[in-house]
Amino acid sequence: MNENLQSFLVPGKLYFKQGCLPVALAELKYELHKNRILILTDAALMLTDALLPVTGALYDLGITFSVIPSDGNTLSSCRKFEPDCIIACGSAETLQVAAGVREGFDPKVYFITIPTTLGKTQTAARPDMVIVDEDMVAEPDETAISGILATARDSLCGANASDYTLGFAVQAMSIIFGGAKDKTSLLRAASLAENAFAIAYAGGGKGGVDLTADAAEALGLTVEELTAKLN
Amino acid sequence: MSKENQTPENIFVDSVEALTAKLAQIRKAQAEYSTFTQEQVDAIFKAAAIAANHARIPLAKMAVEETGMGIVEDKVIKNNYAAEHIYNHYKNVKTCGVIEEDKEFGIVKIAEPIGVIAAVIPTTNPTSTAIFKCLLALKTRNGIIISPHPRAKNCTIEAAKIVMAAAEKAGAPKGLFGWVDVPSLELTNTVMKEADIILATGGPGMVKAAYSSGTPAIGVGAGNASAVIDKSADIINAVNSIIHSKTFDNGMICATEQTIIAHKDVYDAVKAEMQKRGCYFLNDEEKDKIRKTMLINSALNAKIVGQRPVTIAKLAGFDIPDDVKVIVGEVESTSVDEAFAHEKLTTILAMYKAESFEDATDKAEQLLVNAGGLGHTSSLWIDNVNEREKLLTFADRMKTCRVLVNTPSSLGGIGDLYNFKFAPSLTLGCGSWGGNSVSENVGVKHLLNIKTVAERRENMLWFRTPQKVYFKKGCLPVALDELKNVLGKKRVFLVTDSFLFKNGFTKVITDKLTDMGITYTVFSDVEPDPTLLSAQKGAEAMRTFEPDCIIALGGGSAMDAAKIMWVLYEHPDADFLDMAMRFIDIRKRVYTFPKMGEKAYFIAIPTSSGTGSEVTPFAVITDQTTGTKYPLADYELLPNMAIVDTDLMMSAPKGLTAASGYDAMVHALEAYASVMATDYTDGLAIRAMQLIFQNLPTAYNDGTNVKAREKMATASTMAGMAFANAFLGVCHSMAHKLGAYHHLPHGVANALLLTIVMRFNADPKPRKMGTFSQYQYPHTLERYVECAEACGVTGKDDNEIFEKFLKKLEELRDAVGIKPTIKDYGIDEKVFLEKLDQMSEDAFDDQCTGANPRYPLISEIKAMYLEAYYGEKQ
Repeated sequence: MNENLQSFLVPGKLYFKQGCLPVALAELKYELHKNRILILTDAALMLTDALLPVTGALYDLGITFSVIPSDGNTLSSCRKFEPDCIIACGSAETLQVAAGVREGFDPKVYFITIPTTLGKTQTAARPDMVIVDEDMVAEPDETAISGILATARDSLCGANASDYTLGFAVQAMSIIFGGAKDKTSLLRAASLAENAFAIAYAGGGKGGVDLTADAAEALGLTVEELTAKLN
Repeated sequence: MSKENQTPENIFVDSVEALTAKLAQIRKAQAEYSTFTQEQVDAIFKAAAIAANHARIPLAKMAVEETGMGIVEDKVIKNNYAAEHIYNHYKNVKTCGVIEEDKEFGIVKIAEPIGVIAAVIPTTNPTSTAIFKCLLALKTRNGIIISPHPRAKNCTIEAAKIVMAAAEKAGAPKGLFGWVDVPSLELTNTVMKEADIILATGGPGMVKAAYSSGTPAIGVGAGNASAVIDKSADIINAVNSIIHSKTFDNGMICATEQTIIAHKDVYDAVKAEMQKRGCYFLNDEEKDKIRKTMLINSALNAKIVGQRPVTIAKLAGFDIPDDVKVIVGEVESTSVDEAFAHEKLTTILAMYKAESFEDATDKAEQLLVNAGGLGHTSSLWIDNVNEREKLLTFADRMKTCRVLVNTPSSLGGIGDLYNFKFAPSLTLGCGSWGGNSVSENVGVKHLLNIKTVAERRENMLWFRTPQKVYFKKGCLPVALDELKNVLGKKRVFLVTDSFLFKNGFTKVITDKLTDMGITYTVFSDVEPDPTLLSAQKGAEAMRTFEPDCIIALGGGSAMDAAKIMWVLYEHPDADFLDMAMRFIDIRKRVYTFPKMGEKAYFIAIPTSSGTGSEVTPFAVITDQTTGTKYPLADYELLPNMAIVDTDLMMSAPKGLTAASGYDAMVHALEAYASVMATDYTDGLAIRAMQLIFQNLPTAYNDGTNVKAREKMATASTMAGMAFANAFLGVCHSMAHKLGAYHHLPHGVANALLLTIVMRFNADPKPRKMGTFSQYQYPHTLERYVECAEACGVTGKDDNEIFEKFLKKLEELRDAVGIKPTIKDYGIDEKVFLEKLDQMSEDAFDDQCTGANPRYPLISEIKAMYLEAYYGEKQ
């Protein structure tokens, strides 16, 4: 970690709210002028209706697209399709694979992530656009809350953890400590925690930063109380 | 039939009383029918279509016998078509209940019937039109009252009876259909007045009566289609199609060709083919005879409608062979005086020779304008692959709702026979050109009321900041490294104010640039309230220097001025007034901000904590000639990189530290209270507030305290990110104008207004609430309490916590040497009061007002200003 430099790197555009998906995707046509979209998704999702809001929106916009499973020969399929934009719509694994594919591509194509699960709404590689629409996200399971808290807790220790990421992490914790259990609230908290985590670790590495005490203070708790709640 | 013996189903409609009784019966049946499901309706629709089809021959015979017009075998096709093609086209179309649903947008569309349709049936296509309209009524759960043409009333009513019987057998309520048994003008007018909608198929006079009746009407118009034969056309295909089309039911479909306009290069070939296939070309004497027979008193002679050529010739006083299929009159004039230019609705064609394609198109246009038929149909025979431009020119110029290419015009115009995306119909709208309210082939959608159910949804929101935000004491040269090693920039234009330049603040940057071998130039002519003039000067300098990177170093003024220069440099033609236009919703604004970053990468480096301008999409510029301030807001103005280096803040004097620090606090508070606040902005805002309370007094009292300066810098940027996305509120609106009118520093102006505005916003019964879907009800008091608690304020209830929070904010103000009232700053009372009304209105008009949770009245703003002046409510 560079003593003299910390950074705050977020996706170019982070869009959210229930039902925002078609509004956000409309930018692909009217603002970004993309013509060939490659959609990577979970193989399992391809067997359901889950992708219909995405493909339906692209169809209505008149944009050519193709859907491939993220567990296949993705880089090769990408090269063949020659996309000018990649959408990763699926679980954490899919988002990860897509980030890798985008890295392996030249020139760099526009990269959009649309999470469908509550864990890991961000990826290490910064997307150009993230669309968080709860209509696309599955119902949370019992591990969701602890997962969110773990992510928020870990975000306090990244090399780029700072007051900036603390703001997000504390907001996430507030939502959970407030007792919320519904999908909307958990998704809000998850997105904040993931953002905090991704920014705190962008550029890789852990090193010498620990904001647990600041977080505790911000929440009006002692460090012990906070640690207990987080674990 | 005596009236006493009439049962409801058997009412004989020969008077207004009977008609009224009949209508009541239809309404009752329709009311019941309107509750039927899509499944029930579709079964009835199908059964009715089958029955109509079974009766196609008897009905065709009846029609020809009764009207004395047309050809039985062709009318059989019409009846079959009306049943089969209408059924086929609409069998899968949803017309009952929920017909469309969009779960994402929360919209449901529900289809309901209109009620009772008045169907006016023509004498040219009596049974087919009756079948058509009855089937449409069945599919849309409407009742129908038919007004037949006197010359075709028996066959019309018979068709309706057959369809109705089949429908009732399949489950439709009894008495859904009715008809006028003894047509008269009075009864037709009553039908039109009493129905809920009129489907008027017939002549222009009747259509006009329909539109004048006061009931919504869907009418048709007269046709006068020209078949233009271009020199590239397939002559054999064209001629035979035209003859086939024209002779169909003896030319009684309104879309049929009335005229051929053939290019001179193919004229002889066309004529030869026509003669070969049975067309008779009239000589001059015969033409005159036909002219006199065609039009009687400028109106079409009913005796020739739907007649074969041999009959027409006899009427005109000469003989031709029986097997002639079409009579053709070669003419030159397209004026209204030429009888052949008019609609003939029989087996007569006019023929013109055109000098060129343009001439042919001209003639076709003239015929429509002079002799009627506007809005109906036009026809073109052309090589549609190699002459597409001509095709499109023709389509562009023809004021007809049907432009048929390479198809017979009668059979093509009714749809689904020669083109399968063209809706089948026997009622063809002619748009405003034909005095109609519909410009397409009429179908089920014209007979439905569609309800839209809209559920509350919240606007999509966002979180956007510069792609890279670097911070920490000493980070500036490290971050600037990227200019060479990552971004490959070669020419830097550095914007700053003269104070910073003279006092060596730019040295760390210019030294680094020199080290990296990057060329640069410095523009330091920036005033505290940056003007358009200086921005234009800067842009001019940029145009000369052609930088690929702009660095803005300074407070809000330098960064805002640099942003404006950036715009002017990259888009010299952009209109300022358009860019500064007020909007309600930044994503829906009329003006599209031009794309930025095509020439230069923009880096913002603040030297105060601060305006937050390094991470916001805003810039304010003053027009020095009028003093008007223009706020520009667009995410295109977001700097590409922000560098927040504590080293640059260390020497800020106390006054600046206080004012800019308090400004940051107001940013955080207004972003939190804003109707557009989100989790992201809330998280940043709260953290910023905590940091400011903890560090501003120290930074003020001991400017050398590095930790305090760093936390203030962080807080300022975080608050900037918050309001860059959640926007601000009326405190800033009022502070902007207070600063403009009375020259108070921005941070001070905000401090003078803050707690007054907070009380205003916190009112649980505000006069007017802000308008934004996610802001559901006034709850700003609760929001402020959340801020208060996060900043360590406690109390027994919300009101106590709120009051203590206000006190804490006022104590912070005092602690950094900001005075409590406007008066304290030596603003003259008389001057203040004189300008107050205009200042209040200007504050109301400020772009920041829109996001305030409480929408202010101008009088309320005025009251707040007065309280801020005197220090107590007036």
